[in-house]
Amino acid sequence: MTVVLLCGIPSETPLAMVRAELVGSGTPHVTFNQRSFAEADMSYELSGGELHGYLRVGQVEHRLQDLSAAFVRLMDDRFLPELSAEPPGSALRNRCRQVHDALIRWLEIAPGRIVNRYGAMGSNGSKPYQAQLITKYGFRTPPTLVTNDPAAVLAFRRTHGRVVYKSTSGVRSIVSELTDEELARLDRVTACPTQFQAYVEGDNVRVHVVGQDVYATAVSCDALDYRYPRGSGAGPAALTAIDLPGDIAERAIELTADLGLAFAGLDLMIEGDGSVYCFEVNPSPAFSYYQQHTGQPIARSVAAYLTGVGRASA
Amino acid sequence: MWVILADRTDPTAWWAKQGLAAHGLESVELLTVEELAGATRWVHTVASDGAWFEARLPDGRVLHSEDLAGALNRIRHLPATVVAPIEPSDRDYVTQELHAFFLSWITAIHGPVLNRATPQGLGGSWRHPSEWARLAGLCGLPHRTYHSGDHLDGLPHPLAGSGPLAIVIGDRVVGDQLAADLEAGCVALARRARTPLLGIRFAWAPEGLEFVGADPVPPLEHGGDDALEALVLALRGQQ
Repeated sequence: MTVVLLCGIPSETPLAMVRAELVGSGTPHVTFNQRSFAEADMSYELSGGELHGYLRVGQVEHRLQDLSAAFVRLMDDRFLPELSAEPPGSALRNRCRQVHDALIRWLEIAPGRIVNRYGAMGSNGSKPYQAQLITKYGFRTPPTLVTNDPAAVLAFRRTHGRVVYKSTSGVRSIVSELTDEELARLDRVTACPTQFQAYVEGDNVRVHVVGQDVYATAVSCDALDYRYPRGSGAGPAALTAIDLPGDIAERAIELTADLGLAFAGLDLMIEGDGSVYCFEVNPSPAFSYYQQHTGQPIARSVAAYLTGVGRASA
Repeated sequence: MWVILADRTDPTAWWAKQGLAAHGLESVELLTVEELAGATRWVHTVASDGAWFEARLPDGRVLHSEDLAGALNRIRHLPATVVAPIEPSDRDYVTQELHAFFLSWITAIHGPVLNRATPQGLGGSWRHPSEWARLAGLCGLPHRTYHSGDHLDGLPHPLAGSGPLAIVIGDRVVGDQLAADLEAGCVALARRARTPLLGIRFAWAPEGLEFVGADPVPPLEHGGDDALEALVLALRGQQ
């Protein structure tokens, strides 16, 4: 029997969408609401290659051996509202951490379909590292410079014209253009190597891969980073479901699988000559925004993958 | 040029520098993480056709990715001293940025690297004891029972203990002698973990030896000359 574990905050839209699909298909599921961690408990042991234990949610204890899949949308438990008034090291904070640590460790070693395991999500923590993996699958990456030398940035800008900068890691990852005004504070890069990229133009396409299923969305927006249009004064993005040309879908599936991911959101840009840039593979995509605007059944695909039926499970 | 990347307090790195040269590896340089993080100039480029880097170290040495034949990579993490001069409010951010940067430029080394940097560890994947136990079991190695409540007070060193210590280097196992089936399990574990250089600690149990832990940054001295020979072969791609 398939029992799916949902991990996160039930009102969060992507989690709620997948849960609704599971309810609609009559699939048994268990929700670990991380805000109710105080009423949860987990214990297991790994012995002789066998993993046995339980997850208690409220008054109900679930055998871990019965959980065949999990959809994970956990937020950083340190910042849960229930802990906002708790001092560091408090008993409640420690209990919260222990429950989450046990859960996260189990998700890494549990057999079954885990969407996604944390270990597989790591490549997104270094953009230039992930770019080196991405290019092995035939996608282009914009010319990128990571440097602590202001002169190298100026030379890069002379070569490429328009240049953007963004964090090298996954933290504070908002794209900004390197303008003439910004050059006045360029010496700040000497404190830490900073990432710059040649600005490339084309059509933004967000691709969601779920196992073998692919959903492509064309994104039309004047903002430099369409995820944050307000700060740039641009209007909201227009989203349209499209079919991907050529073998892009196959390459996206292969890249996602080889990163160890069952579900990913790829940020592509398709140039006029057909060449395809891949800026990023997001291992925990907020797909609901795209589904709500296009009607693409992404949550249904995720639910199908979790239950092991449909194309997504191929 | 071959390079050893390591913390400046890592005695194994200094031992390996001497030993690898004595075993015929030409031009071995030791680069400490402190020197690398303090480079006065870093230029790392990534493009559709490849990745490169150039660093000018504090002592004036210049490192070009094209000049590197390969690396023995023993960088466990970035020491706190590296970000000590940064404003406290930015320290976590800069640490993440530097980690992301190191992960990328180490990946841009074109030749053999033992071990390749991964998101889980700059010197090879660091794994929780539960993950190692799971992988060990999948590779046929008997392992201690892992309980989810273990290590609540902190994780032990992965190679803590006094039982036999094996070191996998490519296809070879050096260090303490093991039965053939355990050696095969060690090689399988290193392959499954995509960590070609791996220290593996065992402990005596009533039924025989059992897996205790594994570390991608092992004390190579434990393997002596055998370890150096295996390293030279692995770095030259002769295994």
